[in-house]
Amino acid sequence: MRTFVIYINAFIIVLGLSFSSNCYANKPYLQENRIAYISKVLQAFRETPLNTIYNTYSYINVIENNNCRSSLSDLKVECLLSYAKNNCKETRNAKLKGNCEFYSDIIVVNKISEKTFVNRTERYRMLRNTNYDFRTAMTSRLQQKYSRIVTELFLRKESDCDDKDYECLSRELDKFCLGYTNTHSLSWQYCISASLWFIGTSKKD
Amino acid sequence: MRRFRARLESNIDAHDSSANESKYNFIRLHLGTNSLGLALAFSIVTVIAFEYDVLKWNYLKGINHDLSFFIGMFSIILGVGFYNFWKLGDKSVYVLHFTKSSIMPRGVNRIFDHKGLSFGVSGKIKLKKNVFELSSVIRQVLCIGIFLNLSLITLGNAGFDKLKRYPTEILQTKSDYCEDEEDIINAPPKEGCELIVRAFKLGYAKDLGVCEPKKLDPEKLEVCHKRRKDEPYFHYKSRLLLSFVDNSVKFFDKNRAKRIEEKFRLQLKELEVLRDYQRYAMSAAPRASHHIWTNLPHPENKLVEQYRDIFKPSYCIEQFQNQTNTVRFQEHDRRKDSKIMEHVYGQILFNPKHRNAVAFCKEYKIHWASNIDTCERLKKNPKAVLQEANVLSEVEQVLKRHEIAISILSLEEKINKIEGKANVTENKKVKKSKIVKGKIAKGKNQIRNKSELVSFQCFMQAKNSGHKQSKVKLNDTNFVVRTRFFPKTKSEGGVEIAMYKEFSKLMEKRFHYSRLTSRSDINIGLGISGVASDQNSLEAPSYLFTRLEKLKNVDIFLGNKWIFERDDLLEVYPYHVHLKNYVKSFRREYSKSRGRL
Repeated sequence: MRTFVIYINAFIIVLGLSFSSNCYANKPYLQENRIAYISKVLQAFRETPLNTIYNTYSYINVIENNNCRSSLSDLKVECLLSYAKNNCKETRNAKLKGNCEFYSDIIVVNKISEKTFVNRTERYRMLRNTNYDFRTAMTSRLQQKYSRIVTELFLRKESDCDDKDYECLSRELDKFCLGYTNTHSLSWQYCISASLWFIGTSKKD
Repeated sequence: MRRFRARLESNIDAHDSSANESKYNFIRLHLGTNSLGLALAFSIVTVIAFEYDVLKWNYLKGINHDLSFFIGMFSIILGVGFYNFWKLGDKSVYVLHFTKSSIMPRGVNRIFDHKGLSFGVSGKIKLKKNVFELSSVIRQVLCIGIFLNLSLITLGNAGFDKLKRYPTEILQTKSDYCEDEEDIINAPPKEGCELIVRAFKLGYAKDLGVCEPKKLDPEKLEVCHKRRKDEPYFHYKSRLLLSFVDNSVKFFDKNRAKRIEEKFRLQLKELEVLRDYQRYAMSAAPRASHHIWTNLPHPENKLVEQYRDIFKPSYCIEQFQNQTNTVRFQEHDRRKDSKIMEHVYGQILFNPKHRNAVAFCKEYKIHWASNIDTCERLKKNPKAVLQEANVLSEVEQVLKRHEIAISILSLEEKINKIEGKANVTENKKVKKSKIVKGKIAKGKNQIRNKSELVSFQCFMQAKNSGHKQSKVKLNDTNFVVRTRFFPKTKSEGGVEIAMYKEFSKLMEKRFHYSRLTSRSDINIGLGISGVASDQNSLEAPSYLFTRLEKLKNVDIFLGNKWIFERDDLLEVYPYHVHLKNYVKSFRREYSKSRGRL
């Protein structure tokens, strides 16, 4: 009888643990999960050569302009997501594959958010005034916009993280972007991705 | 006996006069007229200057540098000149005497004698010691002071500026002459256009744009009435005079003067309305008055509210201009519902981020912590309830302003008729009357009804939801009073959205937010986004940021309840996307039934 009670208790504990972990797993956007994910993205940027990142960027860019052209945003997102996944699948090393997924996520979001950062009027103006390649001009304009967000992040009074303390930086970034979304009407993921891209690609290779 | 009596009387008189003389012993005034005149003139001018407020420190501080230099120079030069020209530094030619009769010098013309005192004037009498004269320095200072005061009285900053401009106004500039054909063709490039002209010449610019020189178009040529280059000055002036006479004759011809008189009489009849109209415009009286009573407590301390009412009457403008997309509050905040309500109220009516605001926050008032039966009482006795809320005068003012607006528009119509008739006969364009400076409306039919300018509604938290509608009569106008009862929402995630729905229904009954008005993409075969596939996708642990993009198609205002259960998603939900659309749809509907003068 005693053994039976112990088994029952053990069963309940295992059930409870699995339930709670399931809850946690089903909610990837909880604050702690978000922070962990941002840290991993930062780590991925640090570990990957810039060339590789830029190659993926060019690939997503071409895909977006050709295969994934659609006016329905859901369709476009799904298409980009599947191409990004396939692109990373080709990497054999599991760690590199994981890193590829992290920075590809950022690249896809940045690609989608381009129209929010540089609106139609601004793009038209750029087209008129640019003597060289439009894509280069667009990239540099976007970089300027991203830098503005990052500057705001680091100029906050409470911003006090060490360069290599990714967890602290992720926490700060998450908090900052939640506030930024609320006041500036820019989606949270756009703010995060823009900042991560700027921070990640500013390193010396 | 008679002799004795006469002697006695003469003795008494002598005694009286000697007593008086001893009384006025100290009065021995011999004043030089120069000093006295200067002192008097200075005093009079100073008093006038005081009366004109030009000696006040604030006024003196406001005088600009040029004027203060001019006033200084003007008063010193004229003061010294005046002093020297009238020889005011010399001894006075005439002396005024005011002394005891017994010691009055000989040769003085006595003007009056009274009780042993005499007043007289003497000229050229050598009274070296006794004559009182101000020292020459003081007299000079008084002269300067007189002119200083006079210049302060007569000249202000604006007057001085006009004075400075006067010479240039008299002298004609180049633009006062008619231009020759050559002048137009050979005109130098406009200011700041040199670079563009150069770029155009070098082929870097396709056109000159605004820098293009004027071209002569024979069809657009008009007669120039300015002075010709070879025209003598007096010929030009005589031409001006003749044209003035010509215009004056035309003015009195064809009943123009009569029309002006007619217009004036019309305006005179409505003088009170015109005065009230201007008074309301100048005092920035409200153009609408909308009131919402709620039984929720004030979102902040009552003292803070009172402080803002007194010291920051325009606080609401600032508050709703910088509104965030969502509202933050503590878990167990007892004012949570009030904060949400205030936030929703600001978002749907005033926040300028969502295109044009449909209302002006100073014309709206939420009456917090009101009784649940306020609207019932309002129905029975509207004036008492409004008086109790301290808004009766404001409401009546808006209603009065509406009547004034109607009167002003009908007056304008009448005046336009007078002008229109005349103008049709003269084949000229109909000029608009300038009575209504601030635009009320284009016409009578476009002016808002009273019930659109003034509104009353109740928003009460109760056990059960529901709504009521009743009619209230105030100053011969019927108003519909809406009451909406809403229950306390338990789900944390959906409180704000539920409030949006309830409050927008209260403010605009016809407002309906549906899939058609939503910004969500419609997926062929699947219906609207927000189905189970989206939920599953948002549970996957990879590509977290990209997957969030799907939330843009999940409109929280459409009742996607699954999202309220995902507190993690609510934190990163892009409220701004659907909120903007929701507010725009609401405002489109609301502006049809409510507005301001």
